[in-house]
Amino acid sequence: MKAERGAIERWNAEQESASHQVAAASMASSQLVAPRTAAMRAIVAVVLLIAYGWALSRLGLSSERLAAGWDMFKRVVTAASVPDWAYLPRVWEGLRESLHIAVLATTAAAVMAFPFGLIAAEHPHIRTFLSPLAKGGLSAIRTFPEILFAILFMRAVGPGPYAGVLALSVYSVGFMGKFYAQIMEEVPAGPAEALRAAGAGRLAVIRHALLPYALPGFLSLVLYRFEQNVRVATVLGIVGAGGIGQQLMLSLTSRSWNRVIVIILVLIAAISLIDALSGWARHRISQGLTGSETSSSTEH
Amino acid sequence: MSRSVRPGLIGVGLIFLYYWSVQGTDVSLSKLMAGLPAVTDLLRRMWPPDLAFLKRMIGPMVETVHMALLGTVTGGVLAVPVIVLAAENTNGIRPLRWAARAVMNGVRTMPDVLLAAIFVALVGIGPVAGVAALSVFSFGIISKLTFEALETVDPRPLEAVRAVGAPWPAWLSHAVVPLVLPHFLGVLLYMFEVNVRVATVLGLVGAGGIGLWLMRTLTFFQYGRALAIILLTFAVVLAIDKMSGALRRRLT
Repeated sequence: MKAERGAIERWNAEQESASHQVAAASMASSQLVAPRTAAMRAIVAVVLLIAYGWALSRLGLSSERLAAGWDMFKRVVTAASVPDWAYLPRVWEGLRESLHIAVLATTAAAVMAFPFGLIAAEHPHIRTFLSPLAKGGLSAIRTFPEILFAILFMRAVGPGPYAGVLALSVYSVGFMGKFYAQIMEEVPAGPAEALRAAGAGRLAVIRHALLPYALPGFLSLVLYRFEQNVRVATVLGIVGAGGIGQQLMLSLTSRSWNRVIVIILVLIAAISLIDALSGWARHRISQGLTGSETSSSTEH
Repeated sequence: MSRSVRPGLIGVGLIFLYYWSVQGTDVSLSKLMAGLPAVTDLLRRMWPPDLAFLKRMIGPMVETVHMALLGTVTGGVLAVPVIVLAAENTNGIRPLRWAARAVMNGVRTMPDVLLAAIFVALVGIGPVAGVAALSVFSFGIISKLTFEALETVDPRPLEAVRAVGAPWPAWLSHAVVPLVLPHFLGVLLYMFEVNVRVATVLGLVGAGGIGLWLMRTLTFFQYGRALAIILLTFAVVLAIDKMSGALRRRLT
């Protein structure tokens, strides 16, 4: 059971803090820094500094430009300090559409990603020659940002939420497929071996020795992806692919800052709420991994 | 509630959610089928990529990387005071700690592209808007990752330096900074990788970088050029990921 938690933590870490494990190691070693590592850090710092200066000089910032920006900022803050709450119903409409997009894309991808994940998983009892290939393909999808998929799909099915659903689905298949595979790889091989020894076929091994162990991890992954998809679904409308981004773009281009602030406040509240709910559910799932071990064995 | 009832309830809830969403977006399988030929047609028109066009894309690509770099470092600098305020072992005042965490959590709810759209409206089309958006975006992630790491450092060196009577600034620079700096640099590098990816699309909303050119080629139906840009972006993102990842491992 520990293996599954390891997997969840790993994809969590990859998304939220890829450097976390690195960090843990560095924490342990930071009391006793080898001279070579110290020199390496100094070099990295100096290179970063030089590159920063160079990039800044190419940006074309000038004092007039900064002053103009500051003026603009003050004007925006004054305008936004009186939010146009009458705009709320329209904001809710857009937000609802964003949520629809996220729900559809997440659920559709959760199903579609499964066969890909199964093929990609390099678990000793189900891996085939296709596994590395599928893994590469899934990783390739993830290097393209969701918003790019949205623009491409809009060319095909026209602007609107449908293009958004397709874009998020494709990206999420890449994401979930990869981590489905990873979760399955961490399932202990023991039960599968036992079934194989008893003469069970590949499907039976997947059904009885793999899925029951991987399911909590899958659920947690889907929830996590949903949180991310909600975020992306709020910006799809900026390029025309449905959701609250449309209202935001309208308010921005018409310089209605009192409406922009309403949208931003609603988004902060809504996304925080969804993150909190989903985070709570994920926490429950990962606790259940250790808590339900004894009770689930008596159930079957 | 028995264990067998609960999954059933969740299932019903999910079906309802799904039904509600299908109603709201009028998505249908037939529409998907009707749209599929258009997708394959689009992909066919993209091939072959116009690789000769890439010569002119080197400048915009460099600008994209610049944006990522500036956004990362600016966000990192902005994050430092908030990190110190948010961590339990550097700030004993609870309301201040909560305020700092509320700020970073609030900022982190904002998606990157949304920030970019707002900054384009504020400072106009161009890379400055992109840098501003990336700075705010990076600030949220860097501050969260670093303050969490700061809270888990070994408390003994912190106590030791305090015990010899070091004033607060000296304690910060001689005890806290050395402990958390390697991690902070690692987070910066990771953020840079993320920002390169993000910077490539910010142009789609007008915030500078190569995305601006992708949008331009797509609006003029120059699909071969668009594919060339996509491939270049793919290659650069991968290369930077690999380089930064290697550097991150060397750091520790």
